[in-house]
Amino acid sequence: MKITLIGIFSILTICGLAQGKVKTSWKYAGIVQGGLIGGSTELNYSAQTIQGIQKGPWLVGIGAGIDNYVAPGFPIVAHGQYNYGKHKSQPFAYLQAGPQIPWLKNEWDDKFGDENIYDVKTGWLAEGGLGYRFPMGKKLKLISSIGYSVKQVEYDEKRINWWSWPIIPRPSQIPWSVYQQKLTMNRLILKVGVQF
Amino acid sequence: MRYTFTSLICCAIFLLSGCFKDTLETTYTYTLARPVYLTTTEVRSAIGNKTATPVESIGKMYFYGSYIFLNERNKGIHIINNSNPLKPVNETFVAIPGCEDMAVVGNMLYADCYTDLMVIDISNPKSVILKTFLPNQFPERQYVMGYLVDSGKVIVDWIVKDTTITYKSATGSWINGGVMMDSMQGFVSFSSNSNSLKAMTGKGGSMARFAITHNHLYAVTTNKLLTYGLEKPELPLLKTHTDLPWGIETIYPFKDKLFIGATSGMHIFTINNPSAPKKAGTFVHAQVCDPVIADDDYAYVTLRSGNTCRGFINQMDVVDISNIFNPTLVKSYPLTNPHGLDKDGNFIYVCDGKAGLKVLDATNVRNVTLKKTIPMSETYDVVCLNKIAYVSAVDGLHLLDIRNVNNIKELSFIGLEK
Repeated sequence: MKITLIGIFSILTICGLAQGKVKTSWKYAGIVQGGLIGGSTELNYSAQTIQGIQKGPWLVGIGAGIDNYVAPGFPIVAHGQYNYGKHKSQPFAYLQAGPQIPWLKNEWDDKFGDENIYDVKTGWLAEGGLGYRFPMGKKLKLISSIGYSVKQVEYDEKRINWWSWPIIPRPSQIPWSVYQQKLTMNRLILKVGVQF
Repeated sequence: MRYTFTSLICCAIFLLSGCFKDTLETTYTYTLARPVYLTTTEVRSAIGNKTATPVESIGKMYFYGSYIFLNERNKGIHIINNSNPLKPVNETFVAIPGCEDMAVVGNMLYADCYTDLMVIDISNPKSVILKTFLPNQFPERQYVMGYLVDSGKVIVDWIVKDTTITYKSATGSWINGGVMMDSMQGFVSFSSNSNSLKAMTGKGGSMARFAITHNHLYAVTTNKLLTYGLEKPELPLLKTHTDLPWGIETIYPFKDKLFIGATSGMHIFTINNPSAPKKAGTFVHAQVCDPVIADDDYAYVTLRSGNTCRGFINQMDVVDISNIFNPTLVKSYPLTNPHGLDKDGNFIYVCDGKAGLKVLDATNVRNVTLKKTIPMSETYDVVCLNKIAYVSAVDGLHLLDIRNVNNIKELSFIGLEK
């Protein structure tokens, strides 16, 4: 599935680049969009704003938002987008990648109701997809896209060794086991928003 | 068009999201501990004096006469001659595999050996004699660090090896993982012994699980109070076993009462009939660890969190026990991570974990104030005896002169061998 998506994206990008050059200047472009993220663990939401510049078919910018899938965080991404064709309604392909700052650093035990203690570190996220944008008035555009997103988060997980119960642990001998975890999340992401 | 497209990709996310798998790569460095077994016969024959060895892993302590009995967790008991507190002498080591708790009366030392209770004649501390071996008294200790020990065998040592493993698992199990064996842990209790070997009773710490009073040995397991008659000191007779709620941790005798610390509260038993302790009342608190001490009118309970104790509380509760059938909270005092405690006069000495030893003025229990903080590496338990505070900490046993609370001095120190 990953290879298929990357392949489609690559072909569309090459096709787009093969088109003639458009002589236009860089101008501001902003996107605000919400997303629905689906993976094998859960269905959750995201929200993102992208502030960038656009010239011809290209849009580049910086995106920031919330990704609440399993390991909630604030991704800050570099965003690149290519719009195909010259019609008012046009398909586009996009890529974005960047670090994710953890939202819940130590509170996963609350989230999962277990006794473990988590120390979540800054992770990363990469995403690519295809979409369509539809004109909505003079400058506003409705954008809708679907993409493949991979997010990786590393965290230390401290688990109590329950088999040591009921020994009262000495301060220096708390019976924890520390696991270094690397969680890779492969998701499908649907986004709907507006570009202005 | 726009709605059709959006609807299509909306359907796609529901239909295709299951095709994407989340994976968890776990790297875990653990100490694989492989038990070394001996038969109970071999263990019994091995119990006895060894050459005095440096303390490596301080356990519970017990004071008796001029002797300090210092537990080397799961290995045995150091017998330290404390005739001169300025220079305590580590005289001998009694090897007892699986030993965590002890108590002393007269010439007899009572100690656990994993599931078993043993009685050792310490008339001559340098030449102790195993008198009695009562098997299967503490069955919950059979499950030792994940190992179910065969009957007739005892774990006497562990061969440890550090290993790092990495494995992948699919989502759904990513918050769970394999549980491997870590290094050994344990805890402590206190005991001592005298040259005169009169039929006196020693004193343990607030973390002890053994207590001797009224010529009876009381031992708490995770959910039972065991009462042994010591009419024949060398042959304890199990008289009653009283069921208790799960999570029992400590026992503290005071006059005709037993104060039993549990993760969910403090239980008070009367021992007007020492052979049959009778429950009087319970002071319920949040789910935390709670060593307890008491005097005539009040019990002092330290509550702490941050480990197997669970909970989120770190404080000392003062509990009014004037009506033992209805103990009531007087006031709670916040602390850092309190462990063992003891009281000397109006002052309470609290081992507050990494915050050191705290001296609290409890002249007015409704207004307990911090008198002094003595910085120490992680403190664990304290016993006050004859104006000396014996403080077990992560670096060893500290002997403090507490005659003048304004000028507490360290008399001596028994350090751990690194």
